[in-house]
Amino acid sequence: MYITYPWLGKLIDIEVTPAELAKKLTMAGLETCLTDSPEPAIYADKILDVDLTPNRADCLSVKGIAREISALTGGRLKDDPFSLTETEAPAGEYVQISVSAPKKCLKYSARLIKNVKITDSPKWLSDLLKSVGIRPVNNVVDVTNYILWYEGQPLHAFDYRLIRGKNINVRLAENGEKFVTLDGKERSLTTQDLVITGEHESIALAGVMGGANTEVDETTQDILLESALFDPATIMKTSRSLGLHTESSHRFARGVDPEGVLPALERAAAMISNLAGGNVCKGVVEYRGKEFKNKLVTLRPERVNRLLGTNIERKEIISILETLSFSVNSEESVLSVTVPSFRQDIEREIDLIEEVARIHGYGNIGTTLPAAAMIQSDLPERILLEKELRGLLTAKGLNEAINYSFISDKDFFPYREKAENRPIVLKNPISSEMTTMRQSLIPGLLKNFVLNQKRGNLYPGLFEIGNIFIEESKKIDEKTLLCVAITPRIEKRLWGKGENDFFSLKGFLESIIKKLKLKKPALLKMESSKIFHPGKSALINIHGKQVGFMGELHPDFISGHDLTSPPLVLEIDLDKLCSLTGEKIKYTPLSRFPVVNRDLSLTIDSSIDCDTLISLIKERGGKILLGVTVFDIYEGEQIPEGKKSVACSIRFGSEERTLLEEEINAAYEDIFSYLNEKTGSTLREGD
Amino acid sequence: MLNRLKEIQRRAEQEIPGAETLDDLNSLKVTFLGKKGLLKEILRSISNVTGEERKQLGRESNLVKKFIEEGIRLRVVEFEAKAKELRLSREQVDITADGRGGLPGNAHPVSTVMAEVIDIFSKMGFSVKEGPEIETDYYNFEALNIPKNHPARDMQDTFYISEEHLLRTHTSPVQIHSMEAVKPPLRLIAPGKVYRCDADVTHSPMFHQIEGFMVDKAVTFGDLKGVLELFIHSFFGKEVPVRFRPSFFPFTEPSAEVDIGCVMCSSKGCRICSQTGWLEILGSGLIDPEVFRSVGYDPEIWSGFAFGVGIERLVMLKYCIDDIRLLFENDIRFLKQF
Repeated sequence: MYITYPWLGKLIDIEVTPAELAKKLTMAGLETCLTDSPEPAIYADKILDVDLTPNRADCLSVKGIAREISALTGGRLKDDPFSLTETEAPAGEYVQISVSAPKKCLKYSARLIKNVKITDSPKWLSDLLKSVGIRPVNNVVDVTNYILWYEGQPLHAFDYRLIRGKNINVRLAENGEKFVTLDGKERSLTTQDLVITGEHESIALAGVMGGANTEVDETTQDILLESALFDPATIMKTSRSLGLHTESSHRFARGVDPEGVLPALERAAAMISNLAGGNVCKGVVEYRGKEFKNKLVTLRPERVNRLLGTNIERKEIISILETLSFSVNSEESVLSVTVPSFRQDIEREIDLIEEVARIHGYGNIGTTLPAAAMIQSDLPERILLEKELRGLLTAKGLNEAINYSFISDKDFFPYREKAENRPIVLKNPISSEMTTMRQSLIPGLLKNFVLNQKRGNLYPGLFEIGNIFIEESKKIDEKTLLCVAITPRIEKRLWGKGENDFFSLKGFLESIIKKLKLKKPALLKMESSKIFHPGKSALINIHGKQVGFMGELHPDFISGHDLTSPPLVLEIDLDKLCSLTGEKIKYTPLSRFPVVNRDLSLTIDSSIDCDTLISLIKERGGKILLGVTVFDIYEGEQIPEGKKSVACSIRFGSEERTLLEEEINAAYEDIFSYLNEKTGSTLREGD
Repeated sequence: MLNRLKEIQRRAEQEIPGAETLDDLNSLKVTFLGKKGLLKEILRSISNVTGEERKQLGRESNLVKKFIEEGIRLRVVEFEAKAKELRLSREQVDITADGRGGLPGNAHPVSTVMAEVIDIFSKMGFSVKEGPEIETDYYNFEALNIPKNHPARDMQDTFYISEEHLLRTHTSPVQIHSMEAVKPPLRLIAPGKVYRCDADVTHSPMFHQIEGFMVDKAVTFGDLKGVLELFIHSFFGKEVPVRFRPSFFPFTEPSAEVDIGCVMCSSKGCRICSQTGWLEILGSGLIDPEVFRSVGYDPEIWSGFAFGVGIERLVMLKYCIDDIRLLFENDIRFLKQF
């Protein structure tokens, strides 16, 4: 809310500079900064911009802020008197008010002002409005806006003759009722909305905006001036459902002062008759509703100090409350506090404690550390796992990415976790690129690849740790995944690096497994997938649990993505990974005898995979075989169709003695003939 | 004969140091020590001598032989050393070229700062608790004293999935889940992603938050100040000024906004701090009795504080980043810097 010294000057004399005042207000919970007036030509000084929290409805006016300043500075509030002259004609002869929704319309009062002359406002008024960003309209509308700003009471002026009839009713709208508001827009209402109606039609959307059908303009002669009190939640609902936020709805939704309804009407009527020359008819036409009773709240001074950790004296507490216009009965040890009508936010003891703390000053509350028992903090397994993975993957050269959890509809469908999974869609997405909760981290990382390729960036790959969202039998489930995505080729230009292929990706998987001390994963062939290359992809199975999948993305799939070659991607469910227990470390004694390495180069059927070959070798090798590593696989030139060349290194050794050359040769020969017998493999020529 | 020996030694003394190559030395070896060399010649003529003289001659010629052999050996060592030096000097690599094997990558700055904040609070005995990102209206709002049609709902623009489900706008629902599950005392932090329907250079529709809270007997507002000051001083440094000012959150009362002296301009006033010299970095307060009631804690026995800190805000201040969108674009040139 914008405010200036000339506005405040009507109610309080301020000794301090605007900068000092802004600081005082800020430190009392009314965050205030100095800014330029929206109309610097009219008001050249800095104005105060008070950013109010939703609980401080009482400060949505010059009067409210002046009250606050008075409490903070000790400055006395001044009267701003006015006088209202009525004519003999009683207003009741022209207007009657009835309220059919007394829970929603709490008070309704109106005055009739006849024979006004609608003109521009005098300069002092239009300047005052402009200085805080309100656009002057005409003398009558300007007075209602002035009072709203000054007293915090929203008013509305109807062109009386356009109402065509004397009975005014406040009721709930009918479902589907159409109403054209002052801004010229037709609104469709429901039974949640409150309307003011004349004898023929609705004339205002209560508390939010008047109707176009009764708008005051230069032809207007008689004014019906409304000052009312509406139920905050009702106004909030209407304002929200229609997307119509006005200065009036803003105040009603937060709660206006029930005791201010009439005084505001009187001051406005006086000003209008003064500025527009009208005759104010005798009496206020009103629906009084329930009589307002001030709230009574008890306060235990010792509770103030117990919660704040302070030693504020009882009389200090009382004096703080009194400067804020609370009246305090201190006969008993428990204080009995009467809340002024404008403080709708104060209902409980804790609300009063906050008031005391605020005025005492948060800065004056001593800093302590809790006197609580020592406890050991606890970190969830998955957080520890994430930390470990982050350390490992970054050490291996990858950078971590974080993508939005929502993706476009187009990106969602290919990456559904299961084909039958329905998307979880936002009702109010912020853009068409962010409509659907992701079920895979791949789309995000792919997008990052495209962006980085476009910008000519070189890098080995990215990883991301984040949640995916799945709806299963009406229940929404979240899983935390790790996704590693490495680039296929662009790495070459980086010094000393080769190409990435399926095995580079598998290297990442193996590092993770090793780090977590899990058993070697089983990779299973994936059923046909549109995303993955059929020959270079696999499901990852660890300790008998399927934890994820990996592979090169399908070239067809990638063709829609502006990427030069298909990235390699690995996705693992971290909650599942977490549930697996690593093996306990137990030291194996080292053999004191030498280890002998023998290479074996075979030409073998392409269909025989490494795992099979290695287990055949191990099967035959006996006690002296320590291990087998495949270090080269080659298919192509010089190798017959349907065959491949495999080179492996076999380690021989014993824990008890040095092996004899003949012994090793015999074992080697034996392994070879066994392989020949089982698989028809032959020694590769030249070896 | 002895003179002849002396002469051979003198000649060797002159010629061995004069040799310039290994070949020179080899031919000197032949000249002096070879089968037809000068020394062999002397030895052969010894047979003509007898008695004491023969003995002396034998001794002397042996000494000369040793002298020459040693002289040549030393020169050979010398030549070999030189040759090695020459060879090594030609093996010079370009020491200014890059190292091999690639550099490590980086954790995302949001993860790094998140881990740092978790660390600070862990040391103070706060355990970590997580909750779902898709929440119900009850946990995100109602249980936190934010009823429907309350103006406070406007403070947070919410992404809705259905009437009932929404993307959590803060990690505060974890407070409710935890308090429903455990009896006090408790000391927890809840890190995670949160979502608000808002996007510009300082607002992202998705960002990260750490909610922290402590419930015990006799926890005070002074304790809230103490714990948060400790956090801020660990994160930003001991010299950073901190202030607490009244604010409003439906689930805390009294509520406090916590500001630190602007780290960009050392509190002098700049564009980042809107000339105030202060930067808002977290919201906090004593847990509202209404929240205690919704989880069945007795507010007359238990008191507690809660706070929420936006991680992106800390990241942007720590690394002087002026556009939040950079954090989620994942341009490698950006990610590599942290």
